[in-house]
Amino acid sequence: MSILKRKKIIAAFLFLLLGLSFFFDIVLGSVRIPLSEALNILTGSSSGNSVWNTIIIEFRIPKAITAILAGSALSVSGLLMQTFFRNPLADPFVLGISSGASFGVALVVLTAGSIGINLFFLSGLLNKIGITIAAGIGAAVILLLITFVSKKVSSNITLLIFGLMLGYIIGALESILKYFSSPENLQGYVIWGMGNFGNVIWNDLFLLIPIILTGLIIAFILSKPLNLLLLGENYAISMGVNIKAIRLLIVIAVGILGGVITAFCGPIAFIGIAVPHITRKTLGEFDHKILIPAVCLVGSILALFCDIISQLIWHEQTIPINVVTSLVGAPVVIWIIIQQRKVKHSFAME
Amino acid sequence: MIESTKILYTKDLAVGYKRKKADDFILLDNLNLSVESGELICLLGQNGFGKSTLLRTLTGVQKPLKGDFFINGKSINSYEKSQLAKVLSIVLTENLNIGEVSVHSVVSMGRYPHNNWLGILSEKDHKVINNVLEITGLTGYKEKIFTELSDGFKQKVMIARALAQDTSIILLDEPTAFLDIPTRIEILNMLRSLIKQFNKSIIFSSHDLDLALQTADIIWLITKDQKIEVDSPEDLVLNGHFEKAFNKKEIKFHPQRGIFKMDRVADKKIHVKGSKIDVIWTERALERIGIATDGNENVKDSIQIEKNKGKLIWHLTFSSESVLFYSISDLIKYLKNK
Repeated sequence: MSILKRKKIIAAFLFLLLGLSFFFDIVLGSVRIPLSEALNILTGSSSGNSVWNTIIIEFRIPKAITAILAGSALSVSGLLMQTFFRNPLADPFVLGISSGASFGVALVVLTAGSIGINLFFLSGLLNKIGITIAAGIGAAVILLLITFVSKKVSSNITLLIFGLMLGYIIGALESILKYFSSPENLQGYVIWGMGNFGNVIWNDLFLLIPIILTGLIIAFILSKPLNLLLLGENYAISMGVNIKAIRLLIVIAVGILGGVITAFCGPIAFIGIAVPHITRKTLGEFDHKILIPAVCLVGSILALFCDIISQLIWHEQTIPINVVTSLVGAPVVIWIIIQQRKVKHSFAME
Repeated sequence: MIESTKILYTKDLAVGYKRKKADDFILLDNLNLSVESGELICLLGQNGFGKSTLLRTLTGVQKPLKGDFFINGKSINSYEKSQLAKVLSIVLTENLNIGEVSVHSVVSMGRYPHNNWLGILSEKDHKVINNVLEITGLTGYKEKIFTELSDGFKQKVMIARALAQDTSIILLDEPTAFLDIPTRIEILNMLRSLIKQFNKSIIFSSHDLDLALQTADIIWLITKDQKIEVDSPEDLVLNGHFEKAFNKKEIKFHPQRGIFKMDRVADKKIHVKGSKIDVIWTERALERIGIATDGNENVKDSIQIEKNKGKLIWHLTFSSESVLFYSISDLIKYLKNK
């Protein structure tokens, strides 16, 4: 079987999987809705039960779309960071980008009452725009800091440790904010921190979809220079890559993708780091113009899958998405570390 | 000569480092070098004398401290990065580990300066890539994973990639570092034949004096007074610049052989007789353990090398003892203990 044919089969399989997981994410949930009824609602012929109708149309479909957006966005920003830092363990969560975004959110949410605006967390589009911008800026600032430090330190491990420490510092600052915030704000923030795709309603999607698409398109446009960056910055420059412009665009793309998803869904662990590895491994592909759409597919499937699990474990209740992504993603990271010797081949790891 | 016929020339170029709180640190000053098409130039010099800095400056990565240089008659300052990528390509020493990328893919990256924003290969690109793979002897390896290749092959692939970039100049930073001797020779021969086939100009830096002497048309020799002597390797040997540039306390350049040798003080002298090749290798072994050889047959101690039924015998007369040996190693072992 030719390589191309194999890749086509894998692609077809992934699309099928995406369709299936999207479907099951909508059909399954804490409120049991019979399959036939669910199908009726999905095909447009309204069901007799208006509560079921509302649950599926107003809650589960936006949630599934959000899972797809989040899976794609986090995976692509993980891929960008892994290529850019030439580090297999880089992703928005590990290097503190999510923490930066969280801190942006914390600043807006936790200080909300004190500056006289009585906002209940995650209600009202205007608040969401504010939170989104704060998260985006928080993510971009941390990313710039990491980029700056990456110029100074030669070892990737050092950079990771720096990212982790940065995460702790931000965590500490967050704790201070929490300490002084009102109980309602704090509760909203803690719930947000557990991660949830279900906070997004149709109105939010009109904001979320174009932003994420913009980030993904920027990433896709960068695929050629990203390929060249695999050979290292010096070679990339020698082949005409304007490294400063590319660096800025990568920071913007990761800021948008990582930051905005964090604002809407909370910090979501491990998808960004795990998906690029799974995708590279299954496809045996390095070319970013194929990898970027491919990690979107795999990331969406994984996010939907985690969401399905988070619905099913308890009948009546859901568990936070972050718990599930950690349980699924962390073993992948452990597998990467165990395979370190081989990973060293994938990246120039000192 | 009209300067514009040269592929590259420098005008009062100074290279080195900018410092924040002090004057610029100049490594090499007042350079007026030129490169013509079809020249294989080797940049030689001791470590820390500015080899890499000069190469980095010529690739446009580092700014000149003073002066300017011109490629195809155009100042480096007026080149866009993307234009420069079409006239100048580089091969670096860094050991690349880049995941599951095939040899063909690495070479095809060389076409990126020439193709569209997504890097899709045109018919012409495919032609160039296949041609380059053929010339560099990599056709049979094009599906292999780059990272799994030996260092020598990796170097070949990176050279092939530079060729695919289709530039008039290729700069190579220490292309033979970390390679074993046969591979070094192979790589340098490859550069030689590329010059012939494509009329390219190649500049490479090296530590390998003897190989550089054999391969390069022109040597840019960095001297101890921050200048660069430009000449053919042979001229540099004969006019003594070579010796001056490299001699150190215990290492002396050997003009007859074109190599560097340990300069040891010999405490014993011995005369070696026999067929020429046998004498040469025996003398080398003796030199290593600090015994000088003497052409004078009247020296008291001597070694007579004879051939008996296809086997060599070393007949040593030493401090009025006479011993037979059947290999150089036994001979050396014996003499060491004396």
